[in-house]
Amino acid sequence: MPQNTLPRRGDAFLRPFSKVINAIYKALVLVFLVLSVALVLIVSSDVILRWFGFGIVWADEMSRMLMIWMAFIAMSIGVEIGSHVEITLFFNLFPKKFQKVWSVVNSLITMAIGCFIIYYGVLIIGIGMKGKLEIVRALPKSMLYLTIPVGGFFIVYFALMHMLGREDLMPSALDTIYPKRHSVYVPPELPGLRKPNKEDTGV
Amino acid sequence: MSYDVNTAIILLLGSFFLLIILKLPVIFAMCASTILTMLYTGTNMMTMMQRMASSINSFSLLAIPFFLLAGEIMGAGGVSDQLVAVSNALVGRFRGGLGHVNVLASMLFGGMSGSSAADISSLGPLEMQLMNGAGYDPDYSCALTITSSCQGVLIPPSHNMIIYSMAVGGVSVGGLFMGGMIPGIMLGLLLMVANGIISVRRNYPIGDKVPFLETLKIMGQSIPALLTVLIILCGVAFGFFTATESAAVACLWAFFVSTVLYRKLKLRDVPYLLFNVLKSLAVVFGLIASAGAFAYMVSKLNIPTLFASSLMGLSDNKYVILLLINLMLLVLGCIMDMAPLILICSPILLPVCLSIGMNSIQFGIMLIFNLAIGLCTPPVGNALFIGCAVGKRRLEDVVKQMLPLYGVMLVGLMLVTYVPFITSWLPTLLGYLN
Repeated sequence: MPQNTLPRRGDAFLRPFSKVINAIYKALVLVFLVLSVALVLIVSSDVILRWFGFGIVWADEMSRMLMIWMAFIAMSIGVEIGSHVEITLFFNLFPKKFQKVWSVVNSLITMAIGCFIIYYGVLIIGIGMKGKLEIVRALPKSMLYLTIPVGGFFIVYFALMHMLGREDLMPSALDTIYPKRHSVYVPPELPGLRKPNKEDTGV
Repeated sequence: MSYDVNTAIILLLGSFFLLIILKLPVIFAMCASTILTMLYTGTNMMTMMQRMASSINSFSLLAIPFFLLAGEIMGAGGVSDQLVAVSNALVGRFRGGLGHVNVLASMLFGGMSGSSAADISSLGPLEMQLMNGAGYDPDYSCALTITSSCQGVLIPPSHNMIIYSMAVGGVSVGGLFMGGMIPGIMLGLLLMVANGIISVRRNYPIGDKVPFLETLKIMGQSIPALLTVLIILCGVAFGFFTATESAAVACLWAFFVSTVLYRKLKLRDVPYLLFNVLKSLAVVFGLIASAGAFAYMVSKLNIPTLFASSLMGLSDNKYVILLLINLMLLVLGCIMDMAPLILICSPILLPVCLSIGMNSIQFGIMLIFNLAIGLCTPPVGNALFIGCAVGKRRLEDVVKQMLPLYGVMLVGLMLVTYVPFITSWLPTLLGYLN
C-alpha cells in the first residue's frame, strides 16, 4: 500500500481509523475468496454425490446464503475500485467546476444509500430472527442477511475516502491476496485503456 | 391510492435518468430513485431491502460466478492457445484463413465462457499477433477480434442470459441457452463469410495447410478442453443437471485440465483468478440487487402496460413495433452497458413483445443479440475498449474497419428478430417450449 509521507489534514484521526478498517476489509476479502472455492466444491460435490444416490440436502440453501453474503461485500468492492457502471459521456460536457462539486454530491448520495443499507440491513436481521431457513431449520432466517450491514458500512467508508481524496489510505485488496507477481493472465491494463470508470468518452 | 401515479412515474424515471446522466453509478441511481419513489408513495422501506436480498437469493444466479471462474481458469490455463491451434488446423487453409481462425476460436471459447471481455483478453493477443504477422491490416484484425468475441454472449453458457432470466422472472435458463446456440453459430458463420469477402478483395494471405495427421494430433490434444463445452451443453440440454450445477462441474473440470493436463495454471495463481471473479461480481450482483428493487417499483406503477399501450399507439404493425424496439435498444446500447440494460429494459419490453406473438426465449435472444452489438459500438462499448487496448490500436481506426462487420451483425439481428425458427427450433425440440 503506497504510504503518503506528507502529513495531511485529518491524518491524526484518519490514519489509525483506516488502518483498522483496512485490516478488517482485507480479512473479509480473503475469507470470501476461500468461501468462493467452498461454493464450487459444495455445488459440484452435490452433483457428483447425487449420481450415487445421496445428494447434499443443504447444498442449495447454503450456497445461496454464501452468495448473498458475497453480493453485498462485492458491492463495496465495486465502490473501492470504482468499477460500478457509470455514464461519463454526458457528465464530461458539464463545466469543470460543476463536475467537481457534483462528484462530492454523488459521493454523498452513495453514502446515504450506504447508511440506508446499514439501517434496514440491521432491521431485516432483527425481523429474520423469528423466521427459520427453509431447509436448515436449525438456523434463523437472518443468517441470510448477515453481511448486508457490513457491506453497507464499507460502501459508506469507501465513498467517504474517495470524497476526501484519500485513496492513499485505501487498501488495495488485490495486493493482499497477490503481492505483485502475477505470472498468468495479464489483465487488460495496457496503454490506451484508462481506468474503466473514466473511459466512456471513447477517444 | 393516496398518491398520483403519473407523478410517481415521473419521479422514478426522471430521477433515475437525471442521476445516471450526472455520473452516479447506475446501481446507486436505481437505489436512490426507488427510495425517493417509495417515500412519495408511502411504501414500506423494508420492501426495498427484501427485494434487494431476494433478487440475489436464487440458485440459478450462482451460475454467474461459476461460469466466470471457469472462463478465468480456461483463459489462464492454456486452453485458449489450444483453441486457436484447433481452429487453425480446421479453417486456416482458406483465403483469409487466420480471420476464419479468429472467428472459430471465439466460437469455441464462447462455448466455455460467456463474456466477450474474457474472450478478447485471453484469445485476442494471440489472434491479433498471428493476423498482423501474416500481413492483415492491424486495425482490421482488431476489429474482427472484437466482433467475433460477441459470439461469446450468445453461445451458451452466457451469464447475460441468466441475468435476463432473473430479470423477467422464470424463463428457463436451459431454454435460453439452447435458444442462443443457433444465433451464436449463425453470427460466426456470417462473420466468416464477411471475412472471406474482405480477404478476397484485399488479397489477404491463404494460411498454411496443416497435414492430416498433424490435424488429428492437435484435435486429440484439445479434446479435454473441448469436453468442457460438451459437459455444459449436454448437461443442460439433456437435463443431467441444472445450468448452475453444470457450471460448478465445468469449473472443476477446467481446473483439472489446466493444472494436470496442460500444466499451464499454477496453484499460486488461483487466488488471482478468484479475485478477478469477485471484481466482476461486484458489478453484476450489485446491479441485480438494486434492479430487483427498481423493477418492483416499475411494475407497481404499471409502467410496462403504459409503455406497451403507447408503443401500440404508434403503430399496430408487428414488424414496425419490433423495428422500433430494436432501434431503441441499439441507441441505448451505444451509451450503456449490457447488464444494466437487460435488467432495466426486459421487464418493460417483454410484455409488448409477448403481446405481438413473440415467445420469451426469442425476445431474450433478440435483446442479447442487440446489446451485443452495443458492446462494440462507440462511444461506450466494453468489447471495443478492451479490444483496442489489447491490440494497441486507435479507436477511430478500428471503428472504421468495423463498419462492414456492423452491417453483418445487423443482418444477424434482423434474422433473429423476424425468423422465430432460428431461436425457437432447438428449445422446442428439447421440450423447453411447446
